[in-house]
Amino acid sequence: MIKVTDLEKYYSTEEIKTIALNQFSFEVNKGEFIAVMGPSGCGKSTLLNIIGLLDDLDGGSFIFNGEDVTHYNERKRANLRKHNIGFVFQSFNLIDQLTVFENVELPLIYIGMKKADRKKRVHEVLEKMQIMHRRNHFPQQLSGGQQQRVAVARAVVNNPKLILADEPTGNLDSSNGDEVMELLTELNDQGATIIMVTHSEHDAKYSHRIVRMLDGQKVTEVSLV
Amino acid sequence: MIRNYFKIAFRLFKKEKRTTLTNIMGMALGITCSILIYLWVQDELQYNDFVKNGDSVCYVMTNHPITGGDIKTWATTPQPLKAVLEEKYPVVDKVALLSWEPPTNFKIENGFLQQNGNYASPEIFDIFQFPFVRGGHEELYNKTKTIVVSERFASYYFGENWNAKNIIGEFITTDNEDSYEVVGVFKNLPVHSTLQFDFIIPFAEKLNKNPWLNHWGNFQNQMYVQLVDGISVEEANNRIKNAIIDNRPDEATTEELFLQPFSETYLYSNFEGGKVAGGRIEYVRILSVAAILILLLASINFMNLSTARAAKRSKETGVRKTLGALKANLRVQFLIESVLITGFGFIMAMGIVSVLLPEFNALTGKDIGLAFFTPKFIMMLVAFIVLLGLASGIYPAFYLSALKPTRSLTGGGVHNKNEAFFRKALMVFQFIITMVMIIGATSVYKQVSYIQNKNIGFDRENLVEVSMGDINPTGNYQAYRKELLEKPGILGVTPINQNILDIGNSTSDPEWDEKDFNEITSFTIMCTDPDFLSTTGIRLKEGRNFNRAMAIDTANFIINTAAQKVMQMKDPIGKRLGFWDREGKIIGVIENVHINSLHVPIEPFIIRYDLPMTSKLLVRVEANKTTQAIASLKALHDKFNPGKTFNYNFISDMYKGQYKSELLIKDMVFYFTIIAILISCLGLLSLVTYTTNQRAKEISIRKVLGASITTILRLLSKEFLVLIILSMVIAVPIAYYFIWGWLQNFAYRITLSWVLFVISGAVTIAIAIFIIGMQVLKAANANPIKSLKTE
Ligand SMILES: Nc1ncnc2c1ncn2[C@@H]1O[C@H](COP(=O)(O)OP(=O)(O)O)[C@@H](O)[C@H]1O
Ligand SMILES: [Mg+2]
Repeated sequence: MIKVTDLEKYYSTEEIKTIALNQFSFEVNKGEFIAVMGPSGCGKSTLLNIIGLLDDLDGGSFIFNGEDVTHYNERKRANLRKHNIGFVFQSFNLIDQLTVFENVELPLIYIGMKKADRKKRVHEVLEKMQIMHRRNHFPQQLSGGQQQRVAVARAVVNNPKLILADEPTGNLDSSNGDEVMELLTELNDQGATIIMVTHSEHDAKYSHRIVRMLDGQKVTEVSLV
Repeated sequence: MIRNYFKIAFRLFKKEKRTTLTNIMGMALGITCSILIYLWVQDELQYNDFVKNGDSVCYVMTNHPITGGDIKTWATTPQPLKAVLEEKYPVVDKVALLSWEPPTNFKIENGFLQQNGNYASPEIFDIFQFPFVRGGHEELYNKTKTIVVSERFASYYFGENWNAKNIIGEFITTDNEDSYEVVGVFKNLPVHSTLQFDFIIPFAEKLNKNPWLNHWGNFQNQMYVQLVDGISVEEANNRIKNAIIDNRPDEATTEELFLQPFSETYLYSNFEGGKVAGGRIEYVRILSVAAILILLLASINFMNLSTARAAKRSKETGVRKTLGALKANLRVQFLIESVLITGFGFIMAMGIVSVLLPEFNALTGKDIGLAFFTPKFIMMLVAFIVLLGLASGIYPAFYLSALKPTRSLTGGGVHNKNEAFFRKALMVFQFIITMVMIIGATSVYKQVSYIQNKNIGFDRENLVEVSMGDINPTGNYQAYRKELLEKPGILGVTPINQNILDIGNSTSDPEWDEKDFNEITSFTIMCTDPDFLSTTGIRLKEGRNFNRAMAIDTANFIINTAAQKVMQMKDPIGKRLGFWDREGKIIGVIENVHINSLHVPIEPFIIRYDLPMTSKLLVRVEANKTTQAIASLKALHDKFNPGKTFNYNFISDMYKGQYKSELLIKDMVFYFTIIAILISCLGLLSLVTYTTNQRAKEISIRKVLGASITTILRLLSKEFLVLIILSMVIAVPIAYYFIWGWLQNFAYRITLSWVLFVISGAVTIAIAIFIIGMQVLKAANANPIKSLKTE
């Protein structure tokens, strides 16, 4: 489903040029659950952003679902993204001015779903995430675990083929963290491909394959199944 | 989707109440100013546009060359010019003559009715087509001794219900015992007209009484012409320019004619070197520019705040983009927000405008009603508001929507150098505008107070002008004078022939030995008596005053220093001087006195001891006893002029009247500058608040590490102060340039000293420091643990 070859990504500020990704190649098959690990600053988030079509690349090629998206412009990327990819962040990134319901509804608005259908779908997902009773609350009124459940709900509401999770349990205690991991596993079982960045060996065990990185390069790849 | 935008906008407003409110208030103030200025400008531009074929109706001006190559422009023409224009100049379709007339008193039951009106030739009605409600102008010229009056006149003279009476054929009588038959009533002239009269008597009447008006040398009448269809004013001007020079039969002259379109007579009433040199149009321009600048200030506030808030918004932007929002979606969202803010500002502004309108009318002397709230006006405003909202929102919208989601999600959007630069540039720009306005307002204020307080050569306070009425200057005046001087509160009295502040009587006739007859020098003449100097307080520099006991003094003259200069006399006393019917000597020289407005230099001035010419009295009254003095004047007036109206004017009021537009502009510029300062301060306030909030964590850490409040204050204010000082450096030359230009309108003006600039700058900086200090102190004093925890 995903094939990146010799990915390069640089960040230049006035003083220094940082190489965030260096000749990075790997492949992800449909239905896989990948964990990406490595020390802070080694380029994990950068990799996820590129795969999630949030950022462009400075070198190499990227094939997504059989399409060569290496040179897609922002508009095309946005289009591909809203139909295919769901994101979960460490810091939840919910919109403070919107309620739980509205946050989850947002991706459906952007893909142009009808209002009644949206309501049905959002309720369905909220039920599943057991957060229905909080649908009219604002994010600040929820605990961290609840916020992340909302974020996961938002990531999956449009049935994305790919879910990208950047340290989804980083801000959570272990029981809340496990809950989120269970959710991801369940989604994976239902057919979603998942790429997750994590620092936790415990969480990594939920995956099928662990990719370890260092200084923008892939170091090892270990299959758990 | 749109609903979602509105929803999030409203929630954002609710959450950031203070920022939103400052934003709305800034917008409201800016919009209020521009609406008020717009209304004023509209009102000004409306003058004289009531005329049907306005482009072809012109006012005839004459240029009179004087010594030194200067040219004086007057709205006066000789009577014979009318026939010449009609017969020899085919570009001219119709010519109307109109007298210049002082107010006329009409007898009513127990007193007098004072009204303004003119003697006019019939063409005035053809050209302007004033509608009649009774009778018409045809009858006016079919009979003799006829008059047409305005509705206003009719209701004063015949009572409110004049309409019910048959007043056509009634006779009305002036205080000179002239009776006229009313043959028509015309609608009151439009308020927005420079042409104003409440009655018209045929011009032939005037000619009958003053046959000397038939002479080419008497420039005594106003003249309007209607050009033939299709002839441009420019072309007509070329054709008729020399109409006087080419056609005056008796002697060679130098007066050229030019036509001013009637639509321009109100706004362009200043002339220099025989050409139009502005007038009120300058104030229309100044205020229009002020309106635009003030709006700019308000929208800069908005831009600055929105981009400053970008850090907070960038997370939302990032999330939305991650979820598939396109740039366009986001732009629409931000634009909706700015249009909403502008909309609220607009609603608030409408409220303020309707409250302020009466005050504004009082200030500007206008009568603008709420009638301007027409659907068309509202539509225009709404369009304008949307445009303004879009203009203010466009930069933030593009800026925010262009933020990369990866960066905005990690809060990386905050430290963008370009963006910070842009924000600073906007702030500097804003402060430049504000400072130019402050310096401008201060200079205008200083110049206007200079005019008001300038020693014009005599004490204009407590000086009253009254009409002489039936008092005979060579007869019972001495009895009147004797009696008046015994009354309480009266210090002195002198008869004069014209208003001391506006001596229109000028001549180039005076002759002296060694006069160069190739040069034309114009002298203003005052006819008066020996009491003139003591009553006005004008001091003699040399020589002596007129002496009542010396009959020969009526042929002698007192001149001013300017006259001495043009006559090139080292030692003028005793030198021969003669003009009109008199040959005599110069017996005294006075200091230069500002007889005319300070817009023009002091002119050569000659005082004659000439009682028969006088028609008014100038009375010096005691300060603090003015009421008593006026009562005395009235009592005596009634005794010497039984049955006539008593009118008096304080010279100081007339003086102020000369500078009406300057006084108005002083007030307007003052208020609008205050508003500009307010808007800029609002902007600065929220920007400082914002920045300090941003740096709350940094401040806390510094405090924990032992920084003092002063250190923090200095750290946070430095950036702003540097910008404000930079603005000042740029603002000063700009302000200097514009004010210097404006001051050229005055022959007598303040010198632009650096003190004024320094003080204006100091005031701005003081205000800024106060605002910055308050906010920063608040942040510096905050408990550091609190902000560290919330991070
Ligand atoms: N916007 C940016 N500008 C400059 N450098 C960046 C930016 N984002 C990431 N980096 C740098 O790129 C490298 C990889 O970052 P990141 O992918 O966020 O690491 P990780 O997620 O593995 O901690 C780091 O050295 C980081 O400092
Ligand atoms: Mg990371």
